[in-house]
Amino acid sequence: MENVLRDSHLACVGKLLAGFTHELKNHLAIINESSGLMADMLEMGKGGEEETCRKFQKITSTIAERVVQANVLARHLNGFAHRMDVPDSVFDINELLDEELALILRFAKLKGVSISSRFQGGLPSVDSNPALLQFILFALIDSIISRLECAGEINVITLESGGNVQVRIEVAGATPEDGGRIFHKDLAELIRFAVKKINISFDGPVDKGRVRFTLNIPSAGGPGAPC
Amino acid sequence: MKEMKVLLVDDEETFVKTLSERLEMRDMKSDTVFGGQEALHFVDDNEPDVMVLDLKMPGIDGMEVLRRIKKRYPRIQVIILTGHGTDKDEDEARRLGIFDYMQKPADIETLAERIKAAYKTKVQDVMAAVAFAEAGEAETAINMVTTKKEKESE
Repeated sequence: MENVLRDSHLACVGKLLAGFTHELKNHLAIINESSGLMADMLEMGKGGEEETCRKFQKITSTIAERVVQANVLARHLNGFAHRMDVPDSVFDINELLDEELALILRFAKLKGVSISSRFQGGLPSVDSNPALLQFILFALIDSIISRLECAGEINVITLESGGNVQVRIEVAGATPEDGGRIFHKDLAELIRFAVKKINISFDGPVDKGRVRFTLNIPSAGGPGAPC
Repeated sequence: MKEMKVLLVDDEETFVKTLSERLEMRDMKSDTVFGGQEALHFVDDNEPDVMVLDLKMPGIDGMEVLRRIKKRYPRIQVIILTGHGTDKDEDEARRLGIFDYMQKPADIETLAERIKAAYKTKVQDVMAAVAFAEAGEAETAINMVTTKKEKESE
C-alpha cells in the first residue's frame, strides 16, 4: 500500500508539473508572437523615430532570447514531469541527466558551484524506475551543492561498464571528510533504501581517495535487467 | 496563380490572431478559427490548402479534427503546432498523415517556410492527378483530387 500511495503521489506531482509546463509554453508562444510582431513592425519602419526604433529592437531581441531560454527550461521540466508517468521504463540515461542537470543548474549557480558533464555517446538504454533514479541523483547532487564551499566543481560522467550503464558523480578537490559530510547518515540511509528498491548498485562517497558516487544501472536486455 | 488558402486553428485567440498578422506581413493571408467544431464547419464551407492546427482545445480536440479532416479532405495539408504534444501524440498525428509537427513557440520564418512547403506538396499532388488524366487514367486522377465529401454529393 505504501508503494501504491507513493507512486500515485508521484504521478500526481508529475501531472501537475506537466500541466504547468504545457501552459507555460502557451504563454511563451504568445509572448514570442507579440514581440515578433513588434519586431516585424519596426523592421517595416512603423516604430517612429530612429532612436526609438533602436530601443524597441533591443527590447524585442531581449524578449526573444528569454523566450528561447524559458522554452528550454520548460521542455526539461516537462520531460522531468513525464518521467513519473510510469514506475518502470526503458530510457536514455544521458537524456534523463540532461534534463535534470538543466533544472539543478540554478541551485548550483546560486552557491557558485559549477557542474560539468561528460556523457558517453551511443550508450545502451537502461531499464529502471526513472522517477526514483532522478530522485537519487537529485538528492546526491543537492547535498553536494549544499555542503560544498563556493567555487566547487561537480563532474557528472556516464559510461558503459560490464553490460551496465554507469553514472559517476565526482566532486573535484573535495576531501574524504567532505565526502562524509555530503553523504551524511540520513542521506545514506535514504539512498541505500532507494537503490535497493530499484535494484541498482551504488558506491560512495569515497573511491580511491576522492569523493565519487557511482551508480550501476542495468542496461535494457542486459544481464542485470529486470525480467 | 491561385492564392494559397491557410487556416489557423487554436483556442488561444491572441496567439492565433497575432500569428495571422505576422504571416500576412510575409504575404501569406490566413483565416482564423478558435475551436475544433468551428474548424470543421469552416472547412466544409471553404476548404483550405494548408491547416495549422493546435492539439489541445476544449470541445473537439485537434487530434479528432485531424482524424475527421484526413478522412473527408485528405488533400488538405495539416501542420500541427502545439505546446502540449507528447511523443505519443506526434506518432499518432504522423500516422494520420500530417505534413509536419511543430512545437510552440515556433520560429515564424520556419513556420512560414513549412506552410509554403505544404502548399507545394498539395500543388504537386494535383499536378500528378493532371498527368494521370492526360495519360488517360481518368479514374485514378479523379480519385486523387476528389474528397470523400465530393464523392458523397455525386
